[in-house]
Amino acid sequence: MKQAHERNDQFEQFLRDEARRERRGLPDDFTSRVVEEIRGRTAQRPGAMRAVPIGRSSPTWYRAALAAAVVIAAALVAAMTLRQTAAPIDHAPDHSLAEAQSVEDVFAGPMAILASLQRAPDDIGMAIHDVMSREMNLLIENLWNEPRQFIARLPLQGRLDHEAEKMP
Amino acid sequence: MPDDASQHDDRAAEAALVERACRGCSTSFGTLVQLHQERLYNFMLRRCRNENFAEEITQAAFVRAWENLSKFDSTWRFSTWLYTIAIRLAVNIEQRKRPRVSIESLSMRPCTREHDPSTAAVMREDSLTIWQLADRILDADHRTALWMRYGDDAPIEQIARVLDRTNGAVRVLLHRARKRLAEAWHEMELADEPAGSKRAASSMVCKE
Repeated sequence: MKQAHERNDQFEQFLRDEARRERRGLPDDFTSRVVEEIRGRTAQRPGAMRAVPIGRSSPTWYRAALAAAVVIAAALVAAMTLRQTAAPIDHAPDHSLAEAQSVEDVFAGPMAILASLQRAPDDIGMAIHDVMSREMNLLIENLWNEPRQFIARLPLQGRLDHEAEKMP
Repeated sequence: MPDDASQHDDRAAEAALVERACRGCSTSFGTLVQLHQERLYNFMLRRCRNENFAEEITQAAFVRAWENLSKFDSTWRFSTWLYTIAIRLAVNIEQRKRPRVSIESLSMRPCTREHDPSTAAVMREDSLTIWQLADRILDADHRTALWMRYGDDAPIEQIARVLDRTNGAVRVLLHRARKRLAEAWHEMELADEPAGSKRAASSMVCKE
């Protein structure tokens, strides 16, 4: 066994030694030919060579855009959630969401209710306002902490299930 | 093998060149070409077994690398990326050309002591070096792995990346290539009159 290992090592060294002798060189002008070609291509297509180093951190604008997209997505989910809490929850797919209008419309109802409650002179109005604020905060908190379970309770579940079945 | 500290310095210097080249500095890219051209050329020479084609692919690989510098992942070695580009270019070109002669069909058949037609045919030729013998009896991936390991001192991980295989698969590839080559070399030695360094080599054959 030891002899076999020694022969292996010797053969490997033999391969290395022979490889050094086997190496071939390129013509002396090879480098300049390559540089000439790339300069020629760059001159033909100057816009194509604007390089962005990859493998480093993404540009600032990209991170900012990504953060903004996340915030907008979170706001849209929260808005859809708020809209759903105003309607009776059942397990049938709520296709009316497909007809949902703009985010402003979704927000308009609850915000209008809150605004009117704030203007209410009596304690009952203030109490309702407090309850609704607490409920909204609870909804947002649930969405943040347990998004999957929370969304599962929404009428969207039917649609989500359908989408999940289509995935490989 | 260079020690870790000098390897680290080399990688840092290379990274600086790549960064300047990414910003459009063709001079920095020219330096990268000078650093890597011979290794890439010999790598392709082993792969393609044709000097003109190897030179053509080497040049095309550098140009392709320049055009795609923005896609270079700095977690890779630059040479690994170059080798991968070159292999893909060579495969694309070879697929477009109709193969005239295929030695690939002779590769890696079990070598018996009694008779191996491919080795017998090789033995009738003029005496070959070990690497010329490898060119004739090993397929492209085995030749490539063997050259990268013993010609370039490349680590297993780099070979795996270039050949798109796992580290384990590369070790198996190398083992089989060495074994096949050693046996063929020994048979060639038996067929020739022993002379010079070949006599020394015959005693190194790995017998398992």
